[in-house]
Amino acid sequence: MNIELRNLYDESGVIFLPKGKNRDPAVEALQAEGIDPPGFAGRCLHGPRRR
Amino acid sequence: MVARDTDTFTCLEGRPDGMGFVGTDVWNELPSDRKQMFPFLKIADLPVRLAFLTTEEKAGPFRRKLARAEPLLIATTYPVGAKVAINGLGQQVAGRCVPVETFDINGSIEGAPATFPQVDAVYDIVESGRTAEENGLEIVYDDLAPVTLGAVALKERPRAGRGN
Repeated sequence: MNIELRNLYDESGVIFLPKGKNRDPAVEALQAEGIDPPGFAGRCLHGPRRR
Repeated sequence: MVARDTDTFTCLEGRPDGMGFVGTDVWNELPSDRKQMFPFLKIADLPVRLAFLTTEEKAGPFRRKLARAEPLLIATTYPVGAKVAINGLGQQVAGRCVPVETFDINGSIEGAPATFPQVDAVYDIVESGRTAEENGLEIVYDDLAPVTLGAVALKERPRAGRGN
């Protein structure tokens, strides 16, 4: 598991998902970390923030 | 949120608690101070590469000018990468640096060699090469730089805490 990506995700309030060719690899990388980007089925990846 | 890779850094400045994804094609174009602001966390190699392309008519002259180290004009979205690539090719082909200027354009780059007589070639991302072929371009120098996808975020940023 890529701990750094997981940490980066955990510390982020919003994800800017790329358009185009980079989109699928970005989502796959997150899913490989066990992360289902919130809202991915739609267009918005702005998940719930927890401070 | 969805963002073009070239807009990701601006988005992250507007939302400093965010993260985004860009390829090295875009990240390598940043000035060094911006690279330090946005560290790049490598995620995956992408099935694309950067190449020089031009029309059939210009391919021969482009090769000859490079071999003779004559000045070149390259249309590209990636001026930093294009200069690095020409410098590398110049050392290989001509044994010295080749003077190069870039003609910076975004979008419809495939049309540049045919539209602008002074443009020798374009430097652009290639995947299958089909788009180039459809636009009457041939790949003259291929595999000049791989493209890697990475996650980016501001180096100094507030901790938002996502927790899922």
